[in-house]
Amino acid sequence: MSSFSPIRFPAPELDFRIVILLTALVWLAFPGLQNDLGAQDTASVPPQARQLDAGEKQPATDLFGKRIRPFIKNYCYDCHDGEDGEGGVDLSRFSTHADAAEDLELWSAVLKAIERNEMPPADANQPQDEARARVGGRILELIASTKHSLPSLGRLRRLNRVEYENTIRDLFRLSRDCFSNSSRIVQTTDYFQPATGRMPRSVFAVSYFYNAHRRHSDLPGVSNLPVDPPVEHGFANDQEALSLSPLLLENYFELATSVVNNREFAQISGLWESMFASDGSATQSESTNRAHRQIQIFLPRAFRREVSAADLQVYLDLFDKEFAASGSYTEAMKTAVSAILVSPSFLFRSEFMPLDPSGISTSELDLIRSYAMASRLSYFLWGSMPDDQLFQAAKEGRLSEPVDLERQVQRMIKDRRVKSLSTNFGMEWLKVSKVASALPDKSIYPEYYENAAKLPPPALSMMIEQLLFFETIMVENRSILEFIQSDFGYLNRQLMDWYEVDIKKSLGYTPPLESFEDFYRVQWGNGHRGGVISAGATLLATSTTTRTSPVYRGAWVLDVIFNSPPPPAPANVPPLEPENGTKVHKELNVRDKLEQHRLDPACASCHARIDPLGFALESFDAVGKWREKYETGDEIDASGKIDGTEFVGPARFKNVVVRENSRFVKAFVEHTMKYALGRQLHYSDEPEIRRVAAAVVEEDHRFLSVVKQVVLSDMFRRFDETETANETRSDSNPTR
Amino acid sequence: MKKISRRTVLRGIGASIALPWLEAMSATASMGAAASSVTGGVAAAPKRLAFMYIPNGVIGSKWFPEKTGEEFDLPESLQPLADFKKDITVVSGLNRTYLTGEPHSQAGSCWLTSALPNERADGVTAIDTTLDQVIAGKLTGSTAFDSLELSCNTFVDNMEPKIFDAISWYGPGYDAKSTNDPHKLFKRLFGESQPIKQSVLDTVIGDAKRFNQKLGVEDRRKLDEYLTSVRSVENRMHRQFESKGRIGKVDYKVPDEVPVRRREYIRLMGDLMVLALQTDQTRIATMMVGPERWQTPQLYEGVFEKPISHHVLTHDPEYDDVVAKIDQFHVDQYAYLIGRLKSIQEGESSLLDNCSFILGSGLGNGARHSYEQLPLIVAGSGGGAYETGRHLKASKGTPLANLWLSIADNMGVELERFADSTDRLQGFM
Repeated sequence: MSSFSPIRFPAPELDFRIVILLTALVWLAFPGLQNDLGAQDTASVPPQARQLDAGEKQPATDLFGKRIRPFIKNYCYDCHDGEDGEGGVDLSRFSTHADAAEDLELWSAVLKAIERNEMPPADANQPQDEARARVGGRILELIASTKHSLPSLGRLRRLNRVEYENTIRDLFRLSRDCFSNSSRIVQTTDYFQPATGRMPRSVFAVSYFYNAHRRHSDLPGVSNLPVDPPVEHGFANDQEALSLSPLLLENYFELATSVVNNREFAQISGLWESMFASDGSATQSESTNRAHRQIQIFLPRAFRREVSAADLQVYLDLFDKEFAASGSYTEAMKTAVSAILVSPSFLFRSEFMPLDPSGISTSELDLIRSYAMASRLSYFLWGSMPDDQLFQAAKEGRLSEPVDLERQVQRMIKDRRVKSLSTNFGMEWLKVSKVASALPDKSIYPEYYENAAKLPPPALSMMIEQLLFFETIMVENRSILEFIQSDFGYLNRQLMDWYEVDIKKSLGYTPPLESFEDFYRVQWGNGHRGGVISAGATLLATSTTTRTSPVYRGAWVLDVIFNSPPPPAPANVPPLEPENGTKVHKELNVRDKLEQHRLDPACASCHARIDPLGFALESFDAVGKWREKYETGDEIDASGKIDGTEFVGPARFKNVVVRENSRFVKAFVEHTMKYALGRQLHYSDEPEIRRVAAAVVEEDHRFLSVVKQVVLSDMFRRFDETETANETRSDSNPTR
Repeated sequence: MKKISRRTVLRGIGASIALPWLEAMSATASMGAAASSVTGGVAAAPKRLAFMYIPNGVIGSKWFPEKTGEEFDLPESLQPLADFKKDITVVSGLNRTYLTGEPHSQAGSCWLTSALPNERADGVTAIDTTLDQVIAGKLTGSTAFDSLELSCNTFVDNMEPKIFDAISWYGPGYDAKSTNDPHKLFKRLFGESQPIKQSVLDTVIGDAKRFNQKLGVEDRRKLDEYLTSVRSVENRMHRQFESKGRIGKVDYKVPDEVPVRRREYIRLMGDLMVLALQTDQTRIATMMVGPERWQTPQLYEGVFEKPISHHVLTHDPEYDDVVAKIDQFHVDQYAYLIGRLKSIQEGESSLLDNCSFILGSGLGNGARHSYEQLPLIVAGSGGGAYETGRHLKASKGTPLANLWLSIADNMGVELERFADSTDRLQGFM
């Protein structure tokens, strides 16, 4: 809770100069407030909102008219006034709480622009930080206290590629992965033992992209599903992106048949003996009985819910028909199972409550909710179906209380299936796959291709570096701030050379160049490296083939680290012609070129946000190596700026991010939440996101706290879009 | 009647194809002889429609001819079309309207859209059922595949979101997933795929219908995707079973290694598209050379020694010449495919004659992200409907959709309007 007493804004019609004067006076009176406006302050709003009666439409006082509008009028009307408001935004049309409640999406955008110091623009009259924070808190209160309709998203979501593969693996109790999927980055998994809470000092990691012939995990003849499209500022499990096409369904049909008919399937499936193997001595009715029993056990697992008698009968009939036709128990079972694998109940996650609950008993509804929670947990943490323990907990109704959920999270995070969280969530968050197709220009960066006969390209090692680093934060439950700045990393000999690490000093010996599959935990010698921003995978993926791109790098930081991606470049903007003539322009280094471009005010508004973040990384060249000079001979200028704070070089840049960590923590929570829910966030999620972020800060920024708090959040525990955030909140456990 | 060779040789990759002459074709061809006096000498073989999409716009100064009409010139980027000048119509002056948002994302995804430009059909963009799917929907069931979607994006590890990577959409947010794997495509078209048991199909359709009753409106849409897909798979299975004898064994060798070089790869996917049209496996096809805004460096052999990123270069004014060479490179692949279509006889005309094979981009100038002066070429006469061998300059402000409306007309799909069309494209048909 903030320490200052509530300040009443003067009546809206008051001259804005007086408001500024008052604000300034308050500022002078409470100088300490300046640095006391972190996540905890803003996050203090939701609990207040929680006290509101769910049905109450608006608070007794006109929060908006009296406490938000005056600020907006002073600082925003200059440009955002009337229908021709700048950027198509007209803020003058809102005068009461009820008006504002009509367009909360806009107000959540306003909130972000104010909080991130994006608005008012630098050349306009600026509010004091404190007034900014205060009005931010009030807009948040406005959002939290308004009963809103939740996003009308569909609730049916196709399993994505990895979820499908993992589900097949777990459904048939296969002893190994059966699809070779390069998104896993490494083929070797022995090192990954989350139950120990430690990552080994050295890891044998075989790249998926290298030595294809050494791949050992795919079932011969079983083809892969096509890769799901990535999602701009989201994850590949986003329900909006996962459509179904005839082509894809053909794949599903093909897979369903080829998996159960594969010649190795019998050896690696734990279900083979009990379910598929034929018993030559059985009578026809014995076989039928056995099949019916087996399908009855199998179907709820495949559909991840309780099944009705009618659900079951369809597949029993299919077995009977096939059995009668072929006389082969095994063949008939395979056919029935392959039909189950293309059923919508298998292919789609359907974690929701019945549309029409009338006529369904409370205990039945609880059971539906309980199974939905089991799936939501397992797909979030494992990218797969629930295991027997989760199903059992669902059946016994032990997935509703926070204490139950917390217990499951503690258990699941120690299970090896949690690797999905690093390969899918972690690597997608960091956009690691982008680097796989990096091809630096050979004439400019010949060293990138050195030893190409003996070694994979550095990009592949860099992907592994990011994976192992993420997994260490996860397995060792370290602070997520280490994603920004950390004193260790996992490197092979190739990368130690690349990053100029003193190998002798950190390892005590020098491993041979050829053992590129051995990764060692090393301490970084200085603050330049360490963390995901200054990792080779990031630096290389955000460069062009011939040079660094501060714009791509800045945009990467805004998107990945702060979850506030810059808006796309608008259409119909001419490229900036060099002012000094082409020849001179060519001789400019990239920083000077961009500085020149920013002279154009049309570009400056966004690029002033983007470029300075990228400039801070100019000490790294386009292949991720440290450098002191540009090719032009100029000294590197790695000075940058973030939210008005200036700094020089990557180490200080990271220090600033860590020091002002509330922004990163919130962003990381948002990314995690998007992945956990499989959807984009909505403005109505905002108060709860802040509560989660504050709880994470409280718990020392631990990785597990993020996972746990996301699971305990209202959004994660809500299954019915007709339940509003407020309603769910009111029945949630007060001890939380 | 002229005897037609049963053997056609595929150039370019040294593979040969032995195709028994399509019985269906020869039947229509002989009917066509009677009809020829009406249709201007072209046999009434089925009309085909194919699109080839190039991302990131073009360098207009090296693309658009100065002279209009039959005496038009071929600027640098269009030089590869010299042999086919008589078979093409270069259309210039077409425009689109841009809705706020990421400019590249709408370039491809809304190129063929039926939505109005300011209509946020999926809540964000103007993506709605695309022209190819509108037509495929009307012709549904006539071939094994109502439509075929191809992509020459080999990279599975550096992809763009689907809004950048699809030009064909069944509906808002619902993309027609494209194939980029030549082996899978060939197998899908001509392979011995394991038939799906009718009992399995019946079971899942029944299951889905019961499932449907539990769903709300949004989710029913998702399940519709499912049911439509099941029916489409079912149709394909039956159609292909029926046509097995007609097509016989297609003796085309897809190289083991998927080519890294762009020229080889685009031609390979193009060959397969031509094969599908030739064997009447489909009548509608779309092929994307690459996604919009694609950063991945590519090897454009003959243009540049080293892999380069098309998109990155379009935004660097120092590289206009190289970008124009990439444009020319794409036109060269287009010309190759025109040649392939032209070499295939259908009765007294060629497959090309029965095609509208369209090359274009959704952006005019890539550097500016401009939606004006779109590059567009139509090869083939759409079954004798268009007069080819000319440069048609549309009057100022003509929407691209006017051309799409004319194309729909020619494919036998009568629409009053298409997207923001104001008229049929004047002087085209």
